[in-house]
Amino acid sequence: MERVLPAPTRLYERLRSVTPNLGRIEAVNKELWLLLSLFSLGLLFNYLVASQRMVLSFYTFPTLLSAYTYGRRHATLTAFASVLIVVLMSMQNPALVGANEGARAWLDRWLDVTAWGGTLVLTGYLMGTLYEHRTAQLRELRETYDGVLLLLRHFISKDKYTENHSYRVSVYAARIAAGLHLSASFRSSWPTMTSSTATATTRCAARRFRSRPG
Amino acid sequence: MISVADVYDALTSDRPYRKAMSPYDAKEILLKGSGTDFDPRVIDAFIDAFKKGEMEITAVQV
Repeated sequence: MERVLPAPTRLYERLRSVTPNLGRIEAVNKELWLLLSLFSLGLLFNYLVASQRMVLSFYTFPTLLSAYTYGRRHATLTAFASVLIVVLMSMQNPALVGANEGARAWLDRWLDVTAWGGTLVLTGYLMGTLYEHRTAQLRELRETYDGVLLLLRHFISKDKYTENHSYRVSVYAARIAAGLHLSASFRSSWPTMTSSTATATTRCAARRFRSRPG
Repeated sequence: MISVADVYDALTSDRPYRKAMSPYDAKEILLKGSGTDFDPRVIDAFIDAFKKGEMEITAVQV
């Protein structure tokens, strides 16, 4: 699935233009951060025995983060990983999840953990689904926009020559823009988008120029 | 930026009233216009792209 990241900042753009591989490093780093936060939560959980219920709720954050940045699959996997960590830790040290008296408390404790884990997985799944819906809508919108621009280009151009001219102008302009380190999202769809935009803009400029008195 | 691209393409393609100019001549003309007709930053970026050989389009695939 194609990923649409949140709007990049200016600093991010600059860093990106300096190191083209930054995107990949960053992607790896995000996964590492996710894992790291899971493990640090586990550690925290180990030490803060008194307030384990509160720590359990902190496990929502890695799941939400991965739903927000990666989508459904990653979110569900993160949720499962958190549940696995909690279960493993509570098996290793039963005092962590609940009080240590009797068989009844044992059942209570596991019901508690199951309810919590189910909620977490469901949350991850739903958040991820929402994210994917949004991404799909965004992509559709973009495709529609590109299609409209393509149509516009065909209608604005008088003949094959002007259309080719505007196409080449768009490619040149996009390459110059790349040299100026303008937005990558602008560059990514240049074949249709910028060519039509270029045509429209130059035509407007030309018309204004011609209609100028004198 | 678009005006640089427009002028460059106009100069390097065949027109009814004159033959196409070589890319190098076109580049010189654009350089002369830097600061007056065109934004110098855009011209710098153009020259960079030109040196990388990005300013040649062999086939048009519309």
